Amino acid sequence: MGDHQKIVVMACKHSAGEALRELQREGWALPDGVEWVELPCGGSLDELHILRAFEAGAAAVLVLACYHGACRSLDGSRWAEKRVQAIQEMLAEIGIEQDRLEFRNIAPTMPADLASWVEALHRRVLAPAGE
Amino acid sequence: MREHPSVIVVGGGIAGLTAALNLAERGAHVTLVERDSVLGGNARTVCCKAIAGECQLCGGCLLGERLELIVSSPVELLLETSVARVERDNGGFLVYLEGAEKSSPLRAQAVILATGFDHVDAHTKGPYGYGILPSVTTGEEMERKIKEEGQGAYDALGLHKVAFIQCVGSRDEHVGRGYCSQVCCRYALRLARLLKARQPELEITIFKMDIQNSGRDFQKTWQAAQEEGIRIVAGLPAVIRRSSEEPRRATFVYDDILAGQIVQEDFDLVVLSVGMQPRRDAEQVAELFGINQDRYGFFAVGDDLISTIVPGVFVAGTCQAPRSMAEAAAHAQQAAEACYRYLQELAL
Amino acid sequence: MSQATPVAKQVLVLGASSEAARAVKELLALGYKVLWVSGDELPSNGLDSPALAKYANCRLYALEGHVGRFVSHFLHQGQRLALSTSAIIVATGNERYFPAERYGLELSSLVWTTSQVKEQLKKPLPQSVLAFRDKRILLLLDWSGETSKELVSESFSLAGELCERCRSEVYFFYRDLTVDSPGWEQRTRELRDKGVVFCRYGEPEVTVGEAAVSISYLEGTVEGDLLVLPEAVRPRGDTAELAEILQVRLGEDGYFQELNIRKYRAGLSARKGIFFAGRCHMDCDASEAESDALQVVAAVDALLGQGALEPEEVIAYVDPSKCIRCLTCVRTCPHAAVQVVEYEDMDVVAARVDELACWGCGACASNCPVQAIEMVGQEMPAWVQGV
Repeated sequence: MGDHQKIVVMACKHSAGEALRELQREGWALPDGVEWVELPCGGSLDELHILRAFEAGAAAVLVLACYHGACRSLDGSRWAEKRVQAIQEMLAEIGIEQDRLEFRNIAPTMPADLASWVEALHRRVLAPAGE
Repeated sequence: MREHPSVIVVGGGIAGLTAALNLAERGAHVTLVERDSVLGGNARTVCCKAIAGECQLCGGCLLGERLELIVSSPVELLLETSVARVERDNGGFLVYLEGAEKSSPLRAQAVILATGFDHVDAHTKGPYGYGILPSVTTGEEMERKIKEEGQGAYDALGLHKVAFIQCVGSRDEHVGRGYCSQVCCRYALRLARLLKARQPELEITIFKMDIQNSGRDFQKTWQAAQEEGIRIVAGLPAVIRRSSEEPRRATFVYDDILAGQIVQEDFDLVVLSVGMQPRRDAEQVAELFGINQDRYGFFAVGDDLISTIVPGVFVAGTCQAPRSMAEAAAHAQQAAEACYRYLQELAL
Repeated sequence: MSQATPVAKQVLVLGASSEAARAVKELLALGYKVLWVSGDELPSNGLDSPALAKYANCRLYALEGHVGRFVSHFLHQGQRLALSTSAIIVATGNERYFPAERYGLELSSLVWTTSQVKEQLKKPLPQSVLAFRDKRILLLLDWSGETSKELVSESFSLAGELCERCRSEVYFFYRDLTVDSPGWEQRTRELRDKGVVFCRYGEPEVTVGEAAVSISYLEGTVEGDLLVLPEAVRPRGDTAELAEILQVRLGEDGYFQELNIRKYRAGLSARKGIFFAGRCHMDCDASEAESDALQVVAAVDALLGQGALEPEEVIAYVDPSKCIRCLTCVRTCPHAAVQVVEYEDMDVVAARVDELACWGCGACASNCPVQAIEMVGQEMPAWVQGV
């Protein structure tokens, strides 16, 4: 399925989205092969979205949601974390490396962390193949 | 208000953005003047202090959404622009600007000043050795470093013992700042918890005058900090010196008031919890608009903490008194309300 | 997408607190029709206007509808009353109590609460003043580390009044002096100038004798004629019930509003059109509570002032033909925007998302077991639909 050429980042627009735009204002750009899917809230993340991302050839999926207690829809970030855990268990059962799916809490004031997470994931997952 | 009155908001930090957005949503024509080339002011260097997946409610993230809302709002943004001259004009104001774009003066019925604050310069507290001792930093620098380098900015520095010194340049009538800066206890405790969560072995002590533990959220933070092993000592050092045994460390003597002991201790990092002071141009701005300053240099206001002696000139946020980001936003929304009512009465 | 829905400039204010009164006054000045309702008596402070309807001693028992079209059901003097408003401001205040257990002290002729002192000072001269004349009064704050700004503020005012009006000698005992509100440090300095003695204690030892009280602390022992203890505040007893009716969450501490930084100071509830003002959701004194009411009114007017409401760019839509009425969406929606209704034109009963109340978070859609909910306006890559 697919050629494992991309990383999909599924990101809440209120935290990760704002952090990305701050990075972009400073001239940073997503590395090649990183597909950014912006969600209205972590709560809208569907398990199916993650599976479809792998189906469509994602080498890794990174899910970014607000810190718990800062989600404007209250439970959105917890829903997102639960969904990711469920899929991770499923991946383990079918023998896919669990580290292909990551969940992280993020705040709008964390552009530096966002950049380093995305770059590290890119190095780990995509860069070896590209070398 | 059907006539779309014009308001000028001076300052594009959290307060200015909040006031401008509220008035624009209510149909006023708002021009926001910001001297910097970017919006956000001091709030731009505030870091996230969330730990273990939980938000610590510091309010640092309140800026981002406003930056996005303002761009899609009808508020007219003038960056790299400052006020050069103000004239009264038919009950309103004629504001001459200096800067990038506008050369013709702006006409407005009302003005909201939201010019913000300056961090207290830690150099002015000479005996604490800031700028001389490598192990002495400030809370502002710590926030900035974490914002710029990420949550792990202090992880690999080989720290064992960290001290936070509270009330640096605050609550000190001798240096003309006989007020509490409101934010330092809160940021120090939250930063301490952030460091402690990432490096559980770290020994952290907060040296305080009085911990400001009001607010629904702060009680929780304060209790959690103590449960996590953050030590809180009532007593402030007078002088911070280079440690004679280890020159990269700092040492100081303090009077632990509650324990009734005088103690000397070394630290790898000493964080000076610097407070807020009026912006360096406060006097100039006050003069331009004909308003007063209080005894510390903040803009003087009436009992509502919003209105100045000049009808139609309102103040919002930290240019009036020290405030946290969330409080500055709330204050700015009150200023917007006062301004809106003023415009409404003007229209009658 | 959807067009703007016209809404009336009509607001329900709940509560008899001073911040409720401030909100009412401000809304009237902005040209709103205001319904002011309280479970208690309402203050008679001259707020009268043809645009204001007051209902005292009223109990809210149900709330229907959403932002722009709330219908609140009350019991008023044995009658049922239904009031329609576009928004609701909750300003019910807090509740005072004397935390006897926390203090480990009983009230007596030598041990008073701050409220008792205040009541005495309100009495006619000379008895108001004589009770404290030339007496040494020990005001003891912050006993267990619980600080309420309202009581600290009141204690400051009381200390000043006792010094000035009664020539009392006031000792103000504290562990951490709360000064983190604009102007409060100045207040403590003025009190010192009036003669109030501030004493920091470590673990104070209080002795109540036959005719005198004493406090032993770090620096020695102070004897006095009267010990004054601040009361404490807590959420009102009806907060939980009211929250359930309004379908809003409480914080862990039982006050209105979960502690979410994006909403807390802004007075926003998770439900559109429902706002909190003052001491029902904040730790603050009376004047700060009234200021809070003003910023909440500014938010209400930003919402309703233009006379129309528009939905968010992204909102959830339920396909009634797919809905199995399992109520998952009703339960998971954090904004109480989903209900099961009868779609008359289609002759089905199914979930429906109120398009104005929806924040577009998508929790309903991702939780729906039969994928009957779609996020309208959300752009997703094609692969989400399957390859």
